[in-house]
Amino acid sequence: MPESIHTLIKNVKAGNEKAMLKVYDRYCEGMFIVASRYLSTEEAKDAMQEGFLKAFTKIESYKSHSTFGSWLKRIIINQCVDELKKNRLELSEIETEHLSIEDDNYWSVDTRLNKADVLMAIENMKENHRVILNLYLIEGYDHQEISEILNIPVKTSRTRLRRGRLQLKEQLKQKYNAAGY
Amino acid sequence: MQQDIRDLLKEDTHQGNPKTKIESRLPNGHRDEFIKKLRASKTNQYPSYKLDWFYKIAAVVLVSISLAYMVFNASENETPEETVQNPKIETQMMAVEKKFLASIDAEWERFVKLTEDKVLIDRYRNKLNDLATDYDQIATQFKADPNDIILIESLVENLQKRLQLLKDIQIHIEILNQKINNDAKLL
Repeated sequence: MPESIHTLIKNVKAGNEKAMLKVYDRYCEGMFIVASRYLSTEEAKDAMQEGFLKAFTKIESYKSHSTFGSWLKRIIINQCVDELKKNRLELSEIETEHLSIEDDNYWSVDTRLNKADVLMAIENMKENHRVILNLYLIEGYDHQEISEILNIPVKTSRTRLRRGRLQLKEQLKQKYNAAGY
Repeated sequence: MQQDIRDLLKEDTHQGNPKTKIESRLPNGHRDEFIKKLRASKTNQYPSYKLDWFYKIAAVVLVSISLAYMVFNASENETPEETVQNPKIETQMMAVEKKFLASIDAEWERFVKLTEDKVLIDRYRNKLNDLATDYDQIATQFKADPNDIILIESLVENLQKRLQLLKDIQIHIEILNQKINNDAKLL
């Protein structure tokens, strides 16, 4: 029977290398998929591994009020965002638009589009849009969490998401047209 | 017909288009690479644990010395052996003390390097200095009267207090590390 994650974490806290590797084996695939949404394959692997090392270093700060997976994912996403910032991500955006009230209808698209279409469209977007859409739509973080991860005010997070959303819908519309529907 | 993108994305991931990066695989040899990275990072990763253990062992050794001394004194009152025993305890005490102080210094330097918070540094410096002054006073008394159990206990207590203080510093370092990490993100 596989060891419970609780036991593994206890052993990781004690500095047990075997336990660390078991945690790695258990989570690396999933975490790599997460990291791949932000970085290229090689960079994603590095960020994922760095994330694991960081998680092991500060394992004492892990409290069981969140699941270990989501705690780890957050660390790895932070690592990815750091990497993006280091490389190229445009950080400062001058806010020229007024804050608009989010309407749930804004997210609606044609039913003939499937999930893969949306994922593809997100992947092909400009980096700043891609990151915010990933964080919001795929990881399911709220604006408070996104503002912490990207180190931006909540208001900026909302503005960026709105721009990303408009872009995404535009992309999807193009795809929809190109496919000759 | 319209649908919500958010609901659409909640569907099972596995039906994703194979062309998307979602399907990309971990590069070969990633596990070995990780083991290397893990071992490389390990050398600096867990010093606090090792130190912790060292202090625990040192404290236990000190307590047992003082207990043995107490028992010895009670059972063999004023025997000639006592004069031989006393210097031995003193040397042992000094050896442990020396190790303690060296580690405290090392730990202190690491701490100062990690923070620029002058108030924090001053606070800990004062705490350590106060304890060191106390220790010196007790040590002087101990040298004058090596038979006094209470003095030995006070010395042990003093070292234990510094141990506690070191633990506090380590907690601060942890918090600082996180702060530094967060700050790095700002850049």
